[in-house]
Amino acid sequence: MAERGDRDTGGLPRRSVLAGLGVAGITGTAGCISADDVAVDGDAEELIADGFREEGVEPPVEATIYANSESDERVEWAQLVAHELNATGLFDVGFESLELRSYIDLVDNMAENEANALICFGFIGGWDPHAYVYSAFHSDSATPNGHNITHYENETVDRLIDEGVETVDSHERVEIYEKLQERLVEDAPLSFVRAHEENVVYRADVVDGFRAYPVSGGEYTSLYAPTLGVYTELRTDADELVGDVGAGISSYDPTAIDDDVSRIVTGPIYEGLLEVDFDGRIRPLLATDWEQLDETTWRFELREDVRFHTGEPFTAADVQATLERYEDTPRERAVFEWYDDVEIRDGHELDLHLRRPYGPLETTLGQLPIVPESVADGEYDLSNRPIGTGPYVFDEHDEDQYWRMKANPDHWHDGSGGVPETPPIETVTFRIVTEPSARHGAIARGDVHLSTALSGESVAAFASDDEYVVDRTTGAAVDFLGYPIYREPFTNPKVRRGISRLIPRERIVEDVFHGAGRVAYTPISPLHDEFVSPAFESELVDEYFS
Amino acid sequence: MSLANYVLRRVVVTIPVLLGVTAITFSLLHVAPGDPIDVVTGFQNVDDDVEASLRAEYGLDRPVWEQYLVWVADVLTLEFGESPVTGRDVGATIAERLPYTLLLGGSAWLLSLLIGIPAGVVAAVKRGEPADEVSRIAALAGIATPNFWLGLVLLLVFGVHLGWFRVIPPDAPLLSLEMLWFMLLPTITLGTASAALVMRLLRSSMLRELNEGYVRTARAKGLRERTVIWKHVLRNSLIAVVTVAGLQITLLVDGAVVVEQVFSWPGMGRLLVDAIGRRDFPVVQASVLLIGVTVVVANLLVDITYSYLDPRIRYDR
Repeated sequence: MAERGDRDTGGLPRRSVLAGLGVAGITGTAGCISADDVAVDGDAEELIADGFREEGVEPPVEATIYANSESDERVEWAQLVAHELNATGLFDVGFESLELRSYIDLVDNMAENEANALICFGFIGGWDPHAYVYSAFHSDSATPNGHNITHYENETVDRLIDEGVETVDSHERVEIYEKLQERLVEDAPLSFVRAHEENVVYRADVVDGFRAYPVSGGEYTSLYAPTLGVYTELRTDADELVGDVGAGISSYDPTAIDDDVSRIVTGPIYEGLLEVDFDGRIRPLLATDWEQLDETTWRFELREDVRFHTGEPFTAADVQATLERYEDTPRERAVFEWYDDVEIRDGHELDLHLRRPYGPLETTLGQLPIVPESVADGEYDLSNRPIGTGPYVFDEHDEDQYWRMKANPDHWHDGSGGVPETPPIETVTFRIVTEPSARHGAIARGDVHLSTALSGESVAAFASDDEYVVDRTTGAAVDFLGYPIYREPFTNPKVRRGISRLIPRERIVEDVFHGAGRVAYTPISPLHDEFVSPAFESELVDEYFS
Repeated sequence: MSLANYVLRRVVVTIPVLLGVTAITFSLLHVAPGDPIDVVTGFQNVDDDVEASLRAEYGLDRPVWEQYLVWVADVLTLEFGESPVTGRDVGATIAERLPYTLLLGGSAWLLSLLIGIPAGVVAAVKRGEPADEVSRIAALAGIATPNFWLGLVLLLVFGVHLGWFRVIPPDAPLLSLEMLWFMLLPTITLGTASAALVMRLLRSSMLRELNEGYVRTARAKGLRERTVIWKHVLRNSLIAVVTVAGLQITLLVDGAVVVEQVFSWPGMGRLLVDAIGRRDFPVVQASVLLIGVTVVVANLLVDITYSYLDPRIRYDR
C-alpha cells in the first residue's frame, strides 16, 4: 500500500518530466521508458505503450472523459484522471460535463454509437455480489437490457456469473466470485476506483443509538429494528426526530420505486420476510423460520399476530400476492428472475418454488417489502399511501418539503431482546433539502437533528466537532471508470490495465471525498469481505497494480 | 373605452406569442434525450409491451405535433393533465407551488421598489455628495453579487452563526409569522439586485429631468423643493422605472430558481427545474405557459401604468 501512496503523492512531477520522453520513447524503443529512475510509473506507461504498439496506434491518443455536472465530486475525480493520463504524454484527454439525463443517454448508447468516451460513474451494488456483476458484465445485460454499457462480452465471465448466481453454498460461491473478479481485473472493461462510505451525522445531545447502514435505502434501519436489537431514542423531551433527504420522493410503491430517497423514507413503513443486519447476516423478520427443502424449494414459517397498517392480519396469501404483483411492472425482473410459484400450506406456512437455484435469495427477500393482498386486489392504492407492517405508519407527504411518519402502536414486537415494545420516537419527519450547503447549515443550526445525506467535506467537518456523533461504514456502492473498449487502442486490455494503474485512487478518496469511502480495485465493494478478503485483494493488487 | 379596446387588442396579439413559446418548449423537450417513461421505469429494461402500454397511457406514442395539439385543446378547458412521473394532477401541483412563488417574488419586488425608489431620489438630489457615492457603491455591489452566493452568506451569518433565522423553512402554514420571518432572507437575496437596478435607473432619469425647464419654472414659482422633487420630477422620472419594474416581475419569477434551491423554498422555480430533470413534460409545459402569461401580463400592466403617469400616452390610435 505504501508504494501506491508514494506514487499518488510524488507521481506528478516525475510524470511531467516523463511527458516528452514518453512520446519519443514509444515511437522508438519502449526500453527507454522503463529506465530505473521512473520506477512504478514506467510500468503502467510501458504497458500502455505496449498496447498502443500492438494496435498500431501512435500517441497521443485523443479521447474525452465525462461526468455529470450535478456531482461536484465526480467532476473533480474525472478531471484528476484526465490530468494523470495527459501527464504521460500518451493521451490527449479532454473533459466534459453533462446534465444527468444527457449523461445517462450518452452512457446508455456509448457502445452503439462507438463514442470515444471515458465514463465516470457508479453502481449502487447491494448485499450480494450478483448485484454487481450480472447487470454490469454479463453479455445478456448489454445496454439497453442492463448496465453493461461497453457491451463487454466474454464467455468465461458469462459462465462464472451464471454459476455464481445458481450456487447456494457459500464456500463455492466465494471461489467462483474470486475467479470472476480476477478475470475482470485482468480484462478491465471497467476500472473500479472507490467504494462509497455510508454515514450519518447527528447532534450528540439530541439523538442516541442511530447507526449507519451499509446498503443505500436502508439508512433508517437503526430507527427501530427489534430483530437486530437496535433502536434510536431522543435525549430531549421532544417527540419528533427530524432527518433529511437530498431529493424529492418519487414513488411509494415497491414495484415502482427505483431511487434511494423513496427507499429510505418508505423503509420504516415496510417489512420483508427476512432482514439483513449491519454486517450482512440474514435475520428473521416477518418469517420466523425458513429452510431450503431442495435446490429450488424453500419453506417459510411466518410470524403470527402481525397486522398491516390497515388492520388486516398478515398471512401467506399476502406473500404470494406481493410477489405476483411484480408481473408486468417496471421492476418485474427483481422477482421474476427467480420466482416461480408460492404454495400456501396454511395461513402461516408456505413453500416458495424457484425457476432455478438462486444464491442471493435470502438477501433479496431481505429487501422485498411485503404488502397486503388487498393492494393486489385493487382495494388500496399504494401510490397514494404506502401500507406495510413496519414500526412506522405513513402520515403525510408534502412533495417539495417533507415526509412524515408516526410510530405504529400495533407493531408486532413484544418488547423482548431489550428493545421497547413500540418505537420510542413518536414522529419522524424527513425534510427535503436539495442544496448540499443548506443540509450542512440545517444540522449546524439544529433545524434537522440528523443527516444521512452530507458531502464528504461536511462529514469531515462535523467529525472534528464533539457536539456531533459521526457514524461511518463502508458502503455497497462503487465508483468506476469505463472505457470505450470497442475502439482502438482501448480494445487492448493492456491499455486499460495501464490506465487503471494510473488512476490516483488514494488522492481521489482523500482529496476529492475528504476521506469518505475507500480505495477499490475490484467490481465488488470490499464491504463484502468474504468475497473481497484483504488477502485476496492484496494478491490482486500485487499482481495487477504494482 | 379606448383603454379596454387596447387591452383586448393586446390580449389577442398575445395568443400567437404563447402558442409559439409553448410549441418551442414542446419540441425542445422532445429533442432532449430521455422521456418520462424512462424515469417511471427507472432506466431498467422493461418488457416492450409494458413500455408500449405506458406510452399509450400518456399519449407519448403519438406524433409530437399531435401531442401538442391535444395539449393545447386541453389547456383551453384549463385541463393540464396528469404527470406521468408522479401520477398527480398538474393543475393541483402548480396551484400548491404558485402561492409560495407569488409571495416570495411579490415581497422581493416590493422590497426592490421600497429601497430602490427612495435611494434613487436621494442619490439624484444629493448628486456628488457622500450619500450618492455610498449608494453608487452599494448598487454596484448589489448588481454584481450572484444571488446564490448572497443567499448562502446570509444563511451562514444570520442562520447558522447568529441563529436568528432557520436554514430550512419552518413546518408552518405559508401565512404564519414564523414563515414570514423565515422569508426575510430569501426576500433580501432575491430583491437586492432589482433594488440596485431600480435605484440607478431612477437616479439617472431624475438627473435628466432636473435640468428641464419646467423644474426651473416650478422653483421660480416658489414651490417648495420637496414638492418639486416628489411631485413633478419623480412622477416624470418614473416612466423608466415602471418599464424596468415591470420586467423585473418576470425576472423574480424565474430568477427565483436559484434562491428557492438555496432556501429550500417550495416554489415554481424548483418545480420547473425538477420537472425538466425528470422530463415531466406536462409540468414543464404548464410552468412555461404560466411564465409566458406572467411576462405578457407584466408588459400589459407596464403599458397601462404609462398612461396613468403620462396622460399624453394614449392608446386609442
